[in-house]
Amino acid sequence: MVEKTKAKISVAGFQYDGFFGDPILNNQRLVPLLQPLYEALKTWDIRPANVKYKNPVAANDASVSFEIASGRLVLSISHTGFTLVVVNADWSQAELVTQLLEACWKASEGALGIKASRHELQIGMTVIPEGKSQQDITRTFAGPWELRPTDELQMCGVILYTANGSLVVDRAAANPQAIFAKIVHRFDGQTAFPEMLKQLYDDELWLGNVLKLEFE
Amino acid sequence: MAASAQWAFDRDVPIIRYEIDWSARINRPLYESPPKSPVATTLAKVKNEGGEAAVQQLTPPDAVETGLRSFPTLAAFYSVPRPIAIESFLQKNQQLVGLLFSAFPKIRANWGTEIKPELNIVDDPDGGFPILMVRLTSNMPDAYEALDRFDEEWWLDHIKDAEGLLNFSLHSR
Repeated sequence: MVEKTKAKISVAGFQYDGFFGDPILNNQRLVPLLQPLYEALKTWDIRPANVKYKNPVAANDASVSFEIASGRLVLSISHTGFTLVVVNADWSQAELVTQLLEACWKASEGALGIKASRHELQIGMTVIPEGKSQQDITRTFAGPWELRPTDELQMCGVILYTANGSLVVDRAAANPQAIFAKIVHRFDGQTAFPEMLKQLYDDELWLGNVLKLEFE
Repeated sequence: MAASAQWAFDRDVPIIRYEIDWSARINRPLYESPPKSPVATTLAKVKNEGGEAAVQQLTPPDAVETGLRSFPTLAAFYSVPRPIAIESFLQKNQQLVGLLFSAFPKIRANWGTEIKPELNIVDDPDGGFPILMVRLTSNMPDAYEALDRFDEEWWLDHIKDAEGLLNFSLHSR
């Protein structure tokens, strides 16, 4: 078995986008969703000051945002669906995210009679490997390039597109010694949230296996 | 109109376009820094579809976390009088973090939305080792019945996951 290098995730963000299907372009049709959503989010300490009205330009811009946990989780409603952004995300918050998003769609179904048509989940993270360089970790990706003797490899980034998402590995600009990774996974509207998060977790494990990194 | 600056990406054109509107800043110092929003910076980083490296530059160095990543979020839900000690305890016992996130809505459902549960480290009276105690203070007349409900509906199903390192105590105001 190949030994993995320990790697610390220094920064991680999670984003969920859930789509209504056809956009709700009539503002008045969206309004009945706000009150039941606010009631549902009271469980997570939402206060009137945490509800921010926006001036959307495009239909997929946020119309109203609910800032939870001092803005560390931001749930936004647009004319096309919901977006949840989590800063400092880690897997201990998976149940919290599940409960929030289930509450959203329950409110949407009750107030608008609309279910999700599709979902998109993504993780972006900065990873700092312990004791191994980016060059060592990504050297195998550079194989097909047949580097010339004068080409000194520093890091080989990749973008992989699959039928249900994409995976990016790149040098982290905020820390040149770190690796930036982004995983995007799309699901149909019927997939349950625990299943989606499990898939995303499996994607992260897969990424760790490919890079031979053990995320701490 | 507020000044705005944004990186705009077009996946089909390998050019990064930078747009800035100075009009609202004409009477203000140009060196004034925009507010650093951790949400905005992380969002920018996560949302980008191309040119990863350029977008990551938007993340300020002080966004790098050194401790338990989800601790600031947890501390927004719970009252944490000794944050360094609690974070250190949770870092050693990370299985408790998910339990605390899971417990919070159950606590609010049973004792109302005004309750602010408090995290403390106490010595376990039986084992003599430190455990995390969630102190619940309520003046509800049926606060102790709520504790029974909380136990039956949630805590008894999760008590094993806590490995003896977490408990809940109820106090009257």
